[in-house]
Amino acid sequence: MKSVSGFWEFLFPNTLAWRLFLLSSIAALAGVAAVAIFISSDYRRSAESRQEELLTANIFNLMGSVQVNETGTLMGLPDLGDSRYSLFDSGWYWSIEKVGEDENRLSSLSLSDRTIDVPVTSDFDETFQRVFEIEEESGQVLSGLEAQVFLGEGSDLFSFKITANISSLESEINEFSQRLFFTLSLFALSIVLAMSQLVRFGLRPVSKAAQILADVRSGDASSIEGKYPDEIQPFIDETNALISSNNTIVERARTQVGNLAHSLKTPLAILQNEVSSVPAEKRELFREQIDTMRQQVQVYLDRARISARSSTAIAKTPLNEELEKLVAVVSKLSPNTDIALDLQTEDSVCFEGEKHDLQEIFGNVIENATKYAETRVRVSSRFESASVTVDVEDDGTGMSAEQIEKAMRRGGRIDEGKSGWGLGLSIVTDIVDEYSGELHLSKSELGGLKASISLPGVN
Amino acid sequence: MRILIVEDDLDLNRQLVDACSDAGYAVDKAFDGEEGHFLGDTEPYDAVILDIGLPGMDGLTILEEWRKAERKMPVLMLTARDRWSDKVAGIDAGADDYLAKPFHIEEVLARLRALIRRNAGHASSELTSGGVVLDTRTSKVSLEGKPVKLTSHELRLLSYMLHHPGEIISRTELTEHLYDQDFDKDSNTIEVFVGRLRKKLGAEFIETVRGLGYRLQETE
Repeated sequence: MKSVSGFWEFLFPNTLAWRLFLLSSIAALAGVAAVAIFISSDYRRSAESRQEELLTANIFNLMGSVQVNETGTLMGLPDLGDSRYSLFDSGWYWSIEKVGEDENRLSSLSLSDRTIDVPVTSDFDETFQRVFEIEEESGQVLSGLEAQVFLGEGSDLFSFKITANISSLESEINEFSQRLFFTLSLFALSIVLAMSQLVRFGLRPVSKAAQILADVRSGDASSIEGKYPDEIQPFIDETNALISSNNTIVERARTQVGNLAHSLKTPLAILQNEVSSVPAEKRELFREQIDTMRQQVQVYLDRARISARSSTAIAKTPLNEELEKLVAVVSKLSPNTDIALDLQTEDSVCFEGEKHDLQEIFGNVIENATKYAETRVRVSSRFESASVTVDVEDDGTGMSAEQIEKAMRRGGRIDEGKSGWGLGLSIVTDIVDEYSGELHLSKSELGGLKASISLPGVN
Repeated sequence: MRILIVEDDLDLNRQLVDACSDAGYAVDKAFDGEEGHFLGDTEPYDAVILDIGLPGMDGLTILEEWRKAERKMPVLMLTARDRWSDKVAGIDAGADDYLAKPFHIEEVLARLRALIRRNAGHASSELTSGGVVLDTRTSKVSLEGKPVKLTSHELRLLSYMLHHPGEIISRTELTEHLYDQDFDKDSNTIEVFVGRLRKKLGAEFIETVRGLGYRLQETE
């Protein structure tokens, strides 16, 4: 059942393009077919009427070229100037006979001594003419005309019969119809092809809008830009309004979460500082609960932070400027550490992302390095093939090869106490992941840890 | 050492004031931006603890105003916002250190000590002059390796002078930096404390510069 409906859908996909294409093609094909039928029947009619006129002309010709002598015998040598009447069994015959006297006759060479037997179903009209059709034993179809006239003194009735072989006419008509069908088929095909292109062209704004809408969903665009045809502009406008109102709602919710989380921090600080005044046996419980609350607040702030990012459009942040600023800030916060900045990137090199994220990543990483450094931290940057890489190294004790390996296996996340990377850095790995960047830990030539972070970049 | 605490939350303000007073600082407090700004603008402080989210005038603006007016005392910012972009903004505005809520009060005290020390140009947490050593982390004083017991006022006086070695410090300056604004200032009490310190640390330890003030004994 399913496969059948799948096949049905494959044949008749539910698309506007297919509908338009199907309807217009059907209309075009029906039109072409009607034209074909009309032309071919008209051709047949005119061919037949030509045939009939020929027979009529020939029969008058016959009438004019024979006489009846005094004895009532037919005289004359009618020549219709058509060799087919001389060819035996050609189907083109004529005969003149006196009605009731079979011996008194003249006939074409093609007919020889045979007679033309008019089917009894045919009746004469008021001018004593009748048309008939005969099928010979050989299969030839003949169209005939018989006229009865009085010749001589006016008392003897003679029957003039003439036939034409319409088998050849039939094949002529068929040949014409085939040619017609072929030509019109080509015509119909070109219409259908043109139609498919027209539909595709006509619906291009729709597929373009759909593409941009997909970009909006994936975060590559913030709204559907550009001018669209009047028919779909209302949809575009409404969609943009929807996107913008959705963004506002999400933004508001995010701000509320942020405000809630932040507003809890002051009371938490107060509680935390008051723990020492709690009875000793309850102190641990209070500490634990306060710590849990603090962690939860941080988790939700981080989540709001990450989800805020995925819905915003691509931004660019100058790398050198921000690194310089961060190094200045961290230097001020930890004045005992000498932080060297070795920028191998041009000032025009940008990180393809939010400034806040760049600050969050390298602020944390550089500050972390100063915590574990003896005296020195080195920050160096380079740009290669659409990627910026920043190394942050310290001259501390660093991590052992096993610790580094363990850290890398766990996606650069070490949350275990003093192993080198504290809790605060899980946000770093989250943001780096969000940008499909890479975080690599290794041993620095300065002696401590070297954290290499690669992020999408552009020059 | 006299410090200013600007924090609008009543409880947190009280906790900070208590902890800092216990640590031997003379403490002034403000509960809103305008009052905090005014105090920092007019009184000489050795350090300021400044919350960012304040009613009236926010911490960043206050700080920018102070720095514009050449008020250079070290400032420790307190904030619920702990993104690096917030830190950068705080440091840009002129903060010297930055602490995100919720914090342990011990952390505040440690940062405060480090700020004051750094501001006076000392790298070590131990201040020495002659044979006198003050450990700023523990507020313990020793003379030639032997512990000396000091009252909190004596300790404040010693600490301030050790932070400014070789400088001549007037009585007025000492009064301004040793007492909070509500204290009934009487410069005679300074003389009393100087006398007591001389008794405990040696008569030569604090030199009187006639007409100008006091100076710590030059270290050879």
